[in-house]
Amino acid sequence: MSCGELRELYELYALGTLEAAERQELEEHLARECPSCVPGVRRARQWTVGLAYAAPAVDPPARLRRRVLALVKPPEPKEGGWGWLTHAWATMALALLLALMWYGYDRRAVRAEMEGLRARLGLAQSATAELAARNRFLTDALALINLPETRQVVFGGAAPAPPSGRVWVHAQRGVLLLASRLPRAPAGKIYEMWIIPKAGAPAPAGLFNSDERGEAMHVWPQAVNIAQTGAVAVTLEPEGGVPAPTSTPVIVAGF
Amino acid sequence: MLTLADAAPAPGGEHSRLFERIRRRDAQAMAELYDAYGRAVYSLIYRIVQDAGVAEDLAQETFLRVWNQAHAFDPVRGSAAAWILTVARNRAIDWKRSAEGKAERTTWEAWDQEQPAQFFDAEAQLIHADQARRVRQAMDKLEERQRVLIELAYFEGLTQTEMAARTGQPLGTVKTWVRAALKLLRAELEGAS
Repeated sequence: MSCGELRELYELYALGTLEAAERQELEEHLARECPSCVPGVRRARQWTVGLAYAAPAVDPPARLRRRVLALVKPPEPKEGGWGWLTHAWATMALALLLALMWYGYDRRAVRAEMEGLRARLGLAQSATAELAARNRFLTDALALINLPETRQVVFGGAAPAPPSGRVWVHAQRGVLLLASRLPRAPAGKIYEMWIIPKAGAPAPAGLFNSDERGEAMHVWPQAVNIAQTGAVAVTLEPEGGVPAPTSTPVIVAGF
Repeated sequence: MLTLADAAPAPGGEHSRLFERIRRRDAQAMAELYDAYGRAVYSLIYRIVQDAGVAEDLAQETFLRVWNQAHAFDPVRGSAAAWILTVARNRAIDWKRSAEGKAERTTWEAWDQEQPAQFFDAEAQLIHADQARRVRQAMDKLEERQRVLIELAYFEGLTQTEMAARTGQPLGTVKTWVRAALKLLRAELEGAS
């Protein structure tokens, strides 16, 4: 399809509702940095987000704020606190509270404890949802590795002990990087991945950090023009990332 | 009718400082972010899932994701409102599709649509109440059949083929109506955002 024909599809792409075949055509234009389609999709993304305001305003329940804040505050274990409870323990505790209610336990105190339990249960549910999302993420990563068209590049391994690992690249699925012996980024810094074309400037491909063991997994789920790509690299950059690399790469996986 | 336009927080450079504090794991900053966007996020999710309990859970997930991904978001270059509302919409649509037994979008697709970098260069004033009212006014200018289709796309994440099946209209007709609706909305909103 021509850029003129694709123009009609920018908004549906931004909304994630484009049919698969049309999406693939548009993503091919985006992957080669089409000067019409890239800014067109960006503009569509900007204004279509505003459609959220067609939704009628509804006040959330007051407990939602407490649930959200319970997620980000470190648990404060108190005597007989609930921080260590699992689902099963929470259920048992709930039964105990119901029994206390039955025997005339102060109702306001029970309600307060119920709120606390509900917040903890919400925390556990969110953790479960995060785990499920992580599981889907890993499943997709494995799928990328297993696709026959996926290219694999090994990096590192030289003395004394630089980061080493592998990069997998698929033209439509993007890039998956697994690294070890990569020290955790110091405070105020973060690792930034780059797609380095054979000609032209490196393109940013997301931020990540390594864990305490020096291991990192990072994905960039955007189409990559493999034929025009010379390498995938990683640099240490200021937190928040930068549009162009400012330091020597710590990882270079040449194609 | 009271709409999200009435719930829109004011814009401002204070979001830069807010995200900087969130990146430093300041729980109080998260409270302020919730106060700014909690109602908008909950309203959007509730409109999609039509269930108060589910909306509460998904709004909580939305803020958890924002907390976990804040390091990748630059409020100087991007719109916090655009990012947060997109995360909320994706959570809600994925839940709805799953509940209806439809295939969820792959993690890659959803992840791509809500990457913080996608919102770099988005206009910071998107969330402003005037802009939000403009959206509502633009929606009111659509014909009823056009508005229904845009809502199916935005609030339910339906493709045009799915819209045709839902409304019983021929696919060609749906495409014509959607194209006309988007053209009108683009003309009304693109310059304003």
